[in-house]
Amino acid sequence: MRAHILILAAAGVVSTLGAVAACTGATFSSASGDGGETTSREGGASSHTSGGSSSSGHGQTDAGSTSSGGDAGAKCDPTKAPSVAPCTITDALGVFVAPHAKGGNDTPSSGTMAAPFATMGYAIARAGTRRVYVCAATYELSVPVATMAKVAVFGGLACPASPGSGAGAGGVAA
Amino acid sequence: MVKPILAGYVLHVDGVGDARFEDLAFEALPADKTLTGTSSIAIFVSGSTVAFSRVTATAGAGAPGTSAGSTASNWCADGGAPEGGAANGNGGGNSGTCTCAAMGESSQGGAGGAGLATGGTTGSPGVAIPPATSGSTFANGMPGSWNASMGCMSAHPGANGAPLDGGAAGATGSLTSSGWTVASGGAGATGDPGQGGGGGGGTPAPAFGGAGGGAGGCGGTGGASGGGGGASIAIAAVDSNVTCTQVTLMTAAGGAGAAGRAGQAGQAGGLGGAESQGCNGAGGGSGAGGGGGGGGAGGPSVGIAITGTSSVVVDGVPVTPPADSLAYPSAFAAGGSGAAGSGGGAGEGASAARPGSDGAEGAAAAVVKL
Repeated sequence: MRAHILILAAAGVVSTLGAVAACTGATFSSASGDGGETTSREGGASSHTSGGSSSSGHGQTDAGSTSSGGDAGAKCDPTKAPSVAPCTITDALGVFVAPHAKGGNDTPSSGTMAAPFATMGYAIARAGTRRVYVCAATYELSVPVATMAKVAVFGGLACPASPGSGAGAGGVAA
Repeated sequence: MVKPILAGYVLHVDGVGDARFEDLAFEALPADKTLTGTSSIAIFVSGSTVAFSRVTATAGAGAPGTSAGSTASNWCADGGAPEGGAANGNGGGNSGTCTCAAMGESSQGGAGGAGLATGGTTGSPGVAIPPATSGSTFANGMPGSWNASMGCMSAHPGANGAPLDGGAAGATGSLTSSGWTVASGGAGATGDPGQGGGGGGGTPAPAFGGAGGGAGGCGGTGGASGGGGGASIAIAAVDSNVTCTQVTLMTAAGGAGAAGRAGQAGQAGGLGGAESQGCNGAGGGSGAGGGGGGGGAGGPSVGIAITGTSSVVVDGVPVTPPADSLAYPSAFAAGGSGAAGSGGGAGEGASAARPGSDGAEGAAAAVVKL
């Protein structure tokens, strides 16, 4: 299955996503703002297959290590940022956030690419050792992060085209 | 973009050992101008180690400082202090008494001396609490007497009250784990009361009492201080290590400090009692004007404000504050610093009161240790 991963730069931030070229096979985008215009570069095949609803995978720093993230046969380094290693954008390595209008819901069973959480605070509280992947949109709730060992939040991912479109439809990822 | 519809920190990281945020934007609402002295802080980090990459943090304007309030009068009565009383036959006239609103402060004229056929008695001296010290204290408030060869020896007016300090300037606010605390000015000091005038001496043959001395006036109330302006801070860090890579920080203007209020004028002393046959009492001294209130400090407009054990690294380079700007690829767009609140004027009075000090202007820089 061909995967399309969109990574948008945060509003006002100079995009440096050229660095992601190492992960071929993904479609990357840069934008001047949330949900802004994008330009894409599409590479070769991708091995991303995530998109299920499972939210398991707490602490799977190895879970994505066999995913190529683009480079066929290359090892995916789960410590890398998704802007460098889009192969890390998997349900195994992270939980996903999209606005409610794009299908996000703050329910315990959510958090996958296909069924993302709606708010960053909720996602962070339930991510455990996983990352938090946030699609580029405007969020109206503040983000509290208190008393935890580690948290990693990555924005700029493309949002689902519509609620429920999730994986394979230009969703939060893949 | 995270842009809450309610005021407050957009991102609040507290007690996190390793936090990482990439490709995100945080935009705080401007402070509500009706909530004076409040701040707009986009990201607040406390007791944490945080790395930001390609993050935009935008703070709105800080709210202006709280206006200096009105202060209650310190005078013992409207107008001047009570006058000394006329003699009552051969009895000395009553003195004027003025009890100020400030706790324990008062002034009293001296009572008139009694008239006696064998020789009138000397009046009483005027007093003030605390003692008036302005000008020469020699003979101030001393009572009058009667002398067989010279007649009435005049009682002396009371000394004027001493002016005290104007309010201190609002200097620099403080950044703590509780947030940004504005720097308000100090209130002006209340002027001291004037001394009561001396009582007139009593006279013999015919025996008439001396008139009482007038009370000294109360000092003016010190002017209230102006409040400090709120801050506009993109990232505030308390006891935290902050690493920034390719960040864009934008701030708006810090809130203006409010002006201090002028001190109240000193109250005029009461006239000495007049006596057509005995000796006159003397007038009380004037109270000193109140010191002006200090102006509030302007709010800062800062990209990264740190305090405590915090450290900052931007694009791989440790930053020692203060730093006026950030070099490419990071950037800092500053709003203006908050204007300083001016000090309140000195209260009018016979003794020159002191104005309040102007508050400090708010800091405006990319990285500042507060």
